[in-house]
Amino acid sequence: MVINIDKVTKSYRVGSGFFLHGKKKIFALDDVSFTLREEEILGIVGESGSGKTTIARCILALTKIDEGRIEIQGRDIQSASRKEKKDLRSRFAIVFQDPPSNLNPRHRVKNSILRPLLLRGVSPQEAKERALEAMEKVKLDARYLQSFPHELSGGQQQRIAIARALVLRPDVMILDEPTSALDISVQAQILNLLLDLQKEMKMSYIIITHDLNVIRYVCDRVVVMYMGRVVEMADRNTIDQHAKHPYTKLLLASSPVLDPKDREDKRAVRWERRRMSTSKRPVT
Amino acid sequence: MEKLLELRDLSINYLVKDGALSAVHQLNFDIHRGEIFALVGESGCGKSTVAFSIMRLLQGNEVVDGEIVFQGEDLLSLDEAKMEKIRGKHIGMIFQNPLDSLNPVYTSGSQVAEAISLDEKDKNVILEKVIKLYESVRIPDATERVKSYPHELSGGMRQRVMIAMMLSRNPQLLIADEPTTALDVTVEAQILKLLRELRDDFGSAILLITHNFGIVAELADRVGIMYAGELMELADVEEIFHCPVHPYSKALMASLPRITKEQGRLKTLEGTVPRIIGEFQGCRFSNRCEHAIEECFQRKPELLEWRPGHFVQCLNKEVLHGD
Amino acid sequence: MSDLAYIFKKNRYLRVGTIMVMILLFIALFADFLAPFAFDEANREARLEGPSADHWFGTDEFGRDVLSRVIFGSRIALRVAVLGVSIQVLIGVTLGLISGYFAGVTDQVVSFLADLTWSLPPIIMSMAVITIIGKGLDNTIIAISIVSWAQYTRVVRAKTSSLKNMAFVETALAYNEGHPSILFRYILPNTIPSIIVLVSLSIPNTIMSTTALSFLGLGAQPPSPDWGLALSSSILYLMNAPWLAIFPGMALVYTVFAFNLLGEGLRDLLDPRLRAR
Repeated sequence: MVINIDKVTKSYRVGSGFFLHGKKKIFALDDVSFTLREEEILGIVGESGSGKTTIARCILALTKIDEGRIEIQGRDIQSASRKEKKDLRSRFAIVFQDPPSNLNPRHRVKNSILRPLLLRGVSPQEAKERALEAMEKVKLDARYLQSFPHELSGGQQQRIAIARALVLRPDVMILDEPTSALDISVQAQILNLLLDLQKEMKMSYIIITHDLNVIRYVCDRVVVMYMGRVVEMADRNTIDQHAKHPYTKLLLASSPVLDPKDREDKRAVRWERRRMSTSKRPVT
Repeated sequence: MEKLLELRDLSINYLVKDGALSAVHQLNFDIHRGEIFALVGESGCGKSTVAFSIMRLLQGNEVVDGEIVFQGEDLLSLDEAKMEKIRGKHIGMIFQNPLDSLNPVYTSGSQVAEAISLDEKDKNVILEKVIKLYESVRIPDATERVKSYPHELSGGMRQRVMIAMMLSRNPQLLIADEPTTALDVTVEAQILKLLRELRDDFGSAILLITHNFGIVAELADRVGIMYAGELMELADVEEIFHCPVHPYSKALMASLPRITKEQGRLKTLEGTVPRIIGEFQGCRFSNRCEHAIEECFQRKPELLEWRPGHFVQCLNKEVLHGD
Repeated sequence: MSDLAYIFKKNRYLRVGTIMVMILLFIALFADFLAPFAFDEANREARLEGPSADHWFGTDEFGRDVLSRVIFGSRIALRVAVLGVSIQVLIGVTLGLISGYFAGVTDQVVSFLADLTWSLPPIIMSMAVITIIGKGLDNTIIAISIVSWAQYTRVVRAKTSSLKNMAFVETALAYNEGHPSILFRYILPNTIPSIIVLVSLSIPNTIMSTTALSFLGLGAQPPSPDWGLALSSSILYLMNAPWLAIFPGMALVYTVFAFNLLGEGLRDLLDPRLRAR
């Protein structure tokens, strides 16, 4: 068992007053529990505002939680000492959604990749070797190490972000919408790459996405989140064929079909449940 | 079916530092009345440029060649006053980010009202009409929502307001440029349904510009697949999804995540889209094509009818007649 | 065609602005060679003479060559630009980074201070500061800078608070990067384009304000060839010796215009989203 998330609650106060009253409390995470197993690809699916990205930030202790525990191999990261936090974080790598903002636009690719290694006290020589090795793994020519991010395409930028994650040799990789900004042929490349790497390096992934088709292709288990709560959690096939929660069903029905033949079958199901998504979500 | 819009040999070149960048090259296709035509392709293939050129909203550093015939008139040769009338009444456009197309200092309702007030002067009648429009695009609490400012509405609601604005003009052609990219899937599904109803109830034709094959599968009647500024294949949506002919279309279909990792692997497409400055010899896909023959590097193929209603631009006879 | 040449070909403001500023720099740098006389060389024989072959811009009430004084005055203008803007950048950028990055109470205090200084009339405020720290050119520059750093703070703060939520900053934090390093390696370099644009746009303001204070007698003191001082002493002779006002005035207009053009050009180049057209 690598990560255990137990009854985590996290709220924000929103509003722009100088004093606390008059600000509203919004629950980004409300009593969230799930586990990530060894060498597992776990998908977290949900829409904007469902709290799926907040989870990633909590796991890495980039933000504090109100209640609950997040255990990484038995150690509570939220209450850990500064040194221990650093140590625990070093088991993770993270790749965010938007390829251009994933890399510092003012740093050469080489610096972006080497920096986290040097921070961990890896010698410059070894860091360089690992960087070359990672570039090979993500199938990019080593000359791109000298480039600036804006000189690369979206797919290449995302590979660099993955390469930067790989050099750390993490146990767990957190991927926040790793392909949603990419074209489908590039998406296929990145997904295949992720699958290959996972097998080769025996990592676990947490893939956060809104795209059920991506989840269906890569994930072993799925956590469905809705407005800060986990509404359903099951094996991928179970979710796909025997979803229980009405929100999961709505999500499945809304997800684009990828085959024009399936259009008609789903339409009936979908509009039955339309009420739910329009009336329960706050208009923001 | 009657042709509403015809593109004839449309070519668009951007004037850039090192010459004329070919964004769209000799594009030919028609859109019929009441049809949903999807122009699909990956980023940089020129699909949005086509949309903007139909609206004549390009930036000004382009050279446009060919004809865009809308109801028998070539839009490219109209004067600006006439074009404005067509933009207001006959062709509407909705964009990826509706917040950019709504004026933040007016209520959403008054912006829809403005569109109506061209023909109607009585304020109460206008308000009633706006509320009706809001109801017809399924905005809950229509009476209240007309008073909301754009920033007070969610992304899906804003896109509905844009569609309401379009409905008020009842355009014969609606151009939807990535209309749901910024939206959540459940909201996306609702907007798609709205677009479908717009066609079914009002008979508007829709030119759908997107890179998302899910939306195409959900909505389109016919599909044109663009690559590097040219149409590679054009056919009914079922044909495109079930028997694509062009190697590029095939590769795209094989890269759609329709399977699980246990069932197989997604196909990928190596290489990158060429950046074409000035003249280009041969097929624009040839450098990435696994079926490329020598001829493909020398001669530009033409978009030919492969089967009734199914057009393919490919030189390799084995691709066209094999299997 | 190289990138630089293309940029200059496309961006007219940048092209003209750069040339004008280069000319100004050239004049200031080689003032000793370009000026026919020393700026304080008085000639009792030739007082208040109009433009002539000997004195292109005429002479002033002490018989000093106006052309030479205008040329040497450019050094003062540039000194004002460099010193003034450095102080503003130092105060403004530091506070902007801190308040944008740490948010909370620090941010509220800094923003309040920035809004306060922003809302007070700069000339009156700097006059108040001068009464405390005393007259003189450098003191004037300091006074002006103390009251006009706020624009840097505002821009840098806004930029910082959006940058700190970008994925690359979050990733760096997750990879155990420390806060000072985040500020100086990740955030500051990405605010530099905006700062450069602001610098070139705030130079003219700083020069104008300093000139105004010199005009009022609070800044540069005689016999300095400062343009503002020249304008102020020309008032007495405005009717019979207008060249005393015209040439320093034109130099001032030229300088302000040059930096404004450069600023506009840089803005188009570095910060395309701010483009007004």
